[in-house]
Amino acid sequence: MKLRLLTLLSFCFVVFQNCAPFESAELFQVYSYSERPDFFYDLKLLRIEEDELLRQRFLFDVAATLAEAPAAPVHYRLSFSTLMIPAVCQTQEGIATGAAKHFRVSCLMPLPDDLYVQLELEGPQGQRQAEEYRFSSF
Amino acid sequence: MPIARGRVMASFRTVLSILFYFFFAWQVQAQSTPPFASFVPENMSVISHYPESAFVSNRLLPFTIAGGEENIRITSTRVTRGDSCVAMADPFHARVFHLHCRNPELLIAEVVFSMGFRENLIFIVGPFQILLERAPGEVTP
Repeated sequence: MKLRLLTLLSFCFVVFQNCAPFESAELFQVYSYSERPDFFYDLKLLRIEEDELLRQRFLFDVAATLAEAPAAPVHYRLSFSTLMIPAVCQTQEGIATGAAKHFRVSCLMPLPDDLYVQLELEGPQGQRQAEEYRFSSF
Repeated sequence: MPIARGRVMASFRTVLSILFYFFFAWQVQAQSTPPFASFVPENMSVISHYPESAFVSNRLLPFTIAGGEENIRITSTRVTRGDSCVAMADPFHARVFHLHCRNPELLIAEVVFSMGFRENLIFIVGPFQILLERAPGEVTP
C-alpha cells in the first residue's frame, strides 16, 4: 500500500514540475534601459507603404512618457535622414501629454534607402534623451 | 465488518494524502503571491504611463504605483493571465513596474509591494486587451 502511494506521489511530482520558460531571461531582453532612464519611450515601425510612384512611406507608432511623473508633459522631436540626405522628411515636434503620449508619424522617402530616425525627448525639468534608430527599406 | 471498515479508512487516508499533496503543489505553484497578501488602501492606485491606445504587443508598458507612503518597494510581480506576457519591477524606479506581451492577448497581473512596515500589499492590474496594432485614441469598446 505504502509503495503504491509512494509511486503515485512520485508520478505526481514528476508530472507537476514547473516547465515554464525562464521568465527573467525574457525580461532582460524586453527591458532596454541600461542605466536609470528619465523617460520611457518606444518607437515602432508599423509598416512601409508604397505609392504608385514607388515612393516608400515609413509609418511609425511612438509612445513616450516621463519615468518619474506619468502625468508630466514631454516635448518630443523626430528628425529623419538618410546617409545622403540630412533632412529627408520634415522634422516633427509636439508635446506628449495625456492621450497624446501615443502618436504616429510618417516619412515619405523620395527613393528607397535606409532611414535614420532621431527621437529627442525633453522633460519639464530640462531632462533630455536622444535615441537614434535605423530602418532598412528592403 | 471490521475488516471492511479498516479498508474504508485506509482508502480515506489515501485520498486525504493525495488531496494534501495537490494542495501543497498548488501552494508551491502560487509561490509569488503570499497567501497572506492584503489589498491596498483606497488612496493608492496604479497609473499607466501610456494611454490605452498604446497597449500593443512587443511594447514595454510602464506603470507607477501612486499615493501611499514614500518608501514603497515592489517585491514581486506575476502574470496571472497572458501566456506570452511578463511582468517586472523597474530596477531603477521603486514605484514603477512594467508589463510586456509578445502576442496580442488579454493580460492580468499581480503586483506585490511593501510600504513602511506593511508588507505584501497587492494590486491586481488589468484586464488589459493587448492588440497587435492600435491607432492613437483608440480604446477597448
